[in-house]
Amino acid sequence: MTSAPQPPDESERLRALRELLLLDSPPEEKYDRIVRFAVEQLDVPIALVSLVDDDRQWFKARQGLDVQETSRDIAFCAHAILQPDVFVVEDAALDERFADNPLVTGGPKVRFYAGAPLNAPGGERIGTLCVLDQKPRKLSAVEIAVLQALRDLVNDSVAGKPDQEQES
Amino acid sequence: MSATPSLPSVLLVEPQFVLRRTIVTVARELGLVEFHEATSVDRALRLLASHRFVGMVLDLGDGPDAMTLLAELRKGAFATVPRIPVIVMTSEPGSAHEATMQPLGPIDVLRKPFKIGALLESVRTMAQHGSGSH
Repeated sequence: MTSAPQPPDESERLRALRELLLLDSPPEEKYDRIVRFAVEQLDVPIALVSLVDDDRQWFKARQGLDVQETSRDIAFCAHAILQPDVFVVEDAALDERFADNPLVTGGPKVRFYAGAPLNAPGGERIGTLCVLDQKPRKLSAVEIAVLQALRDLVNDSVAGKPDQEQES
Repeated sequence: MSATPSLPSVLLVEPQFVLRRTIVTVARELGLVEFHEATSVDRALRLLASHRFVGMVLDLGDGPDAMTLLAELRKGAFATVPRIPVIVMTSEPGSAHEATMQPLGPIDVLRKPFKIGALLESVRTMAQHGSGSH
């Protein structure tokens, strides 16, 4: 198993994350409805809003998973935040970074992961909107666009933007 | 943001925030159409008063009001051409609406919950319709 290295901007990233006051906060419908929609649209059992803290990932919203946090060294999301694009692991059992990860060999028995990095308003990558499955799979171009669109909605909520009932 | 070539202008009437925003963003990302959003039939009426659309995606959740909107459109009550292609979305499982809806000529009826990919396939057909008739 390969734990993800720290991003180069780790201290600024952690400061931005903590200033948002999201860690250890109660569930909120504006995030819960996004993970419910992700599960429905992407045909997966698990969707999460995961925030990557110093030594853990903590779930602001979760569907299909009972735990509230995991250690950072086994977090797929710690890999996803190293780059700006959607990070996809089509079959974790065949990927040497994850094959012997305890989330793959036990617990939720993750085989598939796709995570879209979330941004704090200053651009720091604070976590992901991610979907997981217990069987290997791929995402189509439309499904990736759906995940990115939902990620944008999470970013808007993180930035405190109200639901826009916009009219033009 | 780079300038995007102008996409067909389609009216989307859908109250549910996450569904509506996702449809709009994905359609734009894929370069399919440019949706103008209305959260209700009332708001759609205001957009129809001032804009011309090449198609409409209409949620029937507003019940009779949504059907009235479609009937008015077909009668030529708005700036938009009466015969534009229309896709309707409904949560109703049965065919209660269908007899009423048939004369109003939707090109597709999608039952919720549907996959966004399925809607966009239908929208792709709509955009082809729209570009053919203008």
